[in-house]
Amino acid sequence: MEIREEGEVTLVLIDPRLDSVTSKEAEAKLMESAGGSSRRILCDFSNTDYISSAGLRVMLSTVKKLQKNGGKMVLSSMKPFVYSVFEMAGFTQIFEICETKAQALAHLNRASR
Amino acid sequence: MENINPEIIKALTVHANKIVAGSYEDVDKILSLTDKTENSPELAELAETFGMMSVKIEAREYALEQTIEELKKKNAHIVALNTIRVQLSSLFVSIVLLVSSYTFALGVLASEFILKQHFFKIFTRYPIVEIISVLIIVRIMLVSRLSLKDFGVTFAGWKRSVAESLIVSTAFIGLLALFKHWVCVHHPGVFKENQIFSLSYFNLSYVTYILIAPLQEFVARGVVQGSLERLLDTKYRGFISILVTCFLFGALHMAHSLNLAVASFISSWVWGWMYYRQKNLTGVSLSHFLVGNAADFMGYWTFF
Repeated sequence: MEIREEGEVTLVLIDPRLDSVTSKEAEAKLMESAGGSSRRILCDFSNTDYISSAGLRVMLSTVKKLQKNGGKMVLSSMKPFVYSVFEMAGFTQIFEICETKAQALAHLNRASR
Repeated sequence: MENINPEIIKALTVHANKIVAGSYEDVDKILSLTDKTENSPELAELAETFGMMSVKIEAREYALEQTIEELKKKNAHIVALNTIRVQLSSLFVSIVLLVSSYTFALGVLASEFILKQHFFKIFTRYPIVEIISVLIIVRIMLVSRLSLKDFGVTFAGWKRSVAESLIVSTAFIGLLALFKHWVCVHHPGVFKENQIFSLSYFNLSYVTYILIAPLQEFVARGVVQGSLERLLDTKYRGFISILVTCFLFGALHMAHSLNLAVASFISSWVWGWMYYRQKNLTGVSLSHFLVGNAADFMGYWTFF
């Protein structure tokens, strides 16, 4: 999982698989970002082919922490399978999901104004 | 399913029951069973299904919590708006009552025929208009359920208010003195005397003014202007609240004379602006007292 700062936004490139094996590390990194100063996170799923319930729970825990801190998270660039898992779990009602990274960035920047 | 350890099935059932009971502490334990490298594919699949169900329920609960939170905020906003609506309607009714009753009183005072009737003599013998005004002001305060502090009765920031008040009052008095000087030079005889200040005007009202000035400021600035500014929902609420108060303050002096009403209207702009800045009655009361008495010492009150 790659994490870098782009302006006031923390950009997170999610691993190809987000399951019970990778979710611990992902959770630790995302939680750290959610508690950071920027508190605006963009999760890029363009590399992700598979997400399990463990991965979904990481995303849910992160958004809960961000919401408490007054932050915001936007997801982007999901492949159809990953999107279908999000949809099935009812996560599309909780998360803001953009088709591209650029759209997600614009969305986060608008929210910061 | 034959390869699945019954103990694991039992543990999965216990975790699942906890989730059903509303506790998500064991979700991680279920999710750890989804690792196919440590568990059989069948068990991992079953655990994933349980995990997905629990995450879905947790997400749904979170979404509901968010919705409830949003509804609570909207409800609080509606309650606040309704409070403003009640206060604004009360203020509207109070001001209409005040202006209407005052207009009637002026009509009575202007009518010789009516004043001959014994009953209406109460308008000239007693401060009926003032009593009506006070009752209406008390009504506004009671309906608003606000504290006296909200009507400017506070010493918070009094030092700055007094300093500003002294500067503004000095400038105001200076302008009045200059105007008198100009009148005395170009229109001699308008004022009885040519000196700027004359102690010959002194009487008890100079002393009682120390009570009258704050009381008038409390009614005009604290209650009327402050309430309007708080309740109006417009970008120009400061200006509108000062404007309305100036007209009301000026009009309420009409019983004495048109000159006093105009002078009150003009001075009300200064005190209205001061109160808009300071939000306490200290500065405006002091300025009202100083300017009012200075105007009296300069002989302006002979025209009112």
